[in-house]
Amino acid sequence: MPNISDHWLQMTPSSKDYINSVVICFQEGLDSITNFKRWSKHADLAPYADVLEEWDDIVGDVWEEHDEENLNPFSWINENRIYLEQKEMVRDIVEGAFDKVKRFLTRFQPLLEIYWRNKQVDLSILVHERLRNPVESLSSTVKLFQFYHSLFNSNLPSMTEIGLL
Amino acid sequence: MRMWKKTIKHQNRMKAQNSLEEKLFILQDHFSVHLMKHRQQMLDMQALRFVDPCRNQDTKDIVTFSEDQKVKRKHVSEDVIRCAEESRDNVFECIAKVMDELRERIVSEIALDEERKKNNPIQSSNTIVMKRKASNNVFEKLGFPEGMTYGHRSSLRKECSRFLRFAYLIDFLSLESLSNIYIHSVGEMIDRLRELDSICDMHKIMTMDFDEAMRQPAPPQRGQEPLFNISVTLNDARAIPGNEIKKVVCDDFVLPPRGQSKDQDFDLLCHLELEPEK
Repeated sequence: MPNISDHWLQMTPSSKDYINSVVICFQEGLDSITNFKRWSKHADLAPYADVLEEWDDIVGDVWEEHDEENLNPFSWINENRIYLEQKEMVRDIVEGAFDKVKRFLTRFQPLLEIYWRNKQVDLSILVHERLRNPVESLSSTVKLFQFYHSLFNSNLPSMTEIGLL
Repeated sequence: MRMWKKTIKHQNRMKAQNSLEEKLFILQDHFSVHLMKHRQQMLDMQALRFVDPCRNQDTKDIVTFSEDQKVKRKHVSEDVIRCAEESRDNVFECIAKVMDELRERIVSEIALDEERKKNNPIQSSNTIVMKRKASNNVFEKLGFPEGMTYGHRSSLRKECSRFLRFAYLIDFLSLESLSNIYIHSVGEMIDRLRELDSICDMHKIMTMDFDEAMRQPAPPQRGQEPLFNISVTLNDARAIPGNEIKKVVCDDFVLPPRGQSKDQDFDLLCHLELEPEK
């Protein structure tokens, strides 16, 4: 079974969860810096604007208080590559990292196959009265399980570092 | 013709000079000082980052990562508000200085005018009627005295017009700083993800020994710990598609000295057999 790890090993959280988490950081980050009080067309300047006559030089032609009290840098960044392609950049990196983990998980293919084979066996056969060569079979089964115990213990790491993940 | 050209050039030059004097804040006493101060404040502010690239920290699960980033954003938000308040104080100070200076000049000129009026009542009364206008509430609001001449009001309006322009310049610098915070924050986080992803040596990982007893302990490298934690779980309830299960030939199991089989060659599916029923 060449793809057993794809079927039986599940990674949580998924790459999408991490991509969304990072992208949300960026989106909410923009909100977190949109609290810088503006000066232009702010009510604090109204007394100075009121002094001006219609023939005076007024920047922006008409002085009206702005609806937004805070500055929003969106118009400064919305054409920047970092803003436009951030999701794709994060997705490429995180999905690349998950692909590396998938590749790493193929190392457990032999163990998973052993596990799958063991699941197919009905072990009650060991106590069946018609078991062929019962002594040898029992002895070989016990030795096999001892081998598996040692194999699984030495080939299943509790934790591995694979770059980003 | 030559004189005409010379006059036109002179006029254009004067026009440009006046425009520069009027609008180039860096050349004006109070504005230049406070403009430079604002620029410095904005340079300091743009060093803020709303993401935590998690250097020298342990690997995080998605919930901890999101929570930590939220805390970071909250701190940055508070820092931006603090910077905005400092910047506001700076601009208020600039406006106050300019207005105080102008007010002082106008008050002293009015006092001088009053003095002249006392000394020469006939001449003074003529000019006052021409120049002064009834008191205006908007001027009083700014703390200017009654009885300002047209010239005084014109000077005040000129400064007020300049404040409105200065406000735009201040906002321009602030916006540049805010946009740099965003661009650099996002850029740093993406660089951090890329950096961690690139340090992964797949050949080493695919060949490493998992046996704790056999494994050579790697020297600790702070700053290169993975950023995200994922757990891998076995989901054996999922059926394996039949077309992916391949049948293989199973050799007889014969242990030495009669055969060459090893303990691990014993196959439960093949070698555990029942005798046929008699």
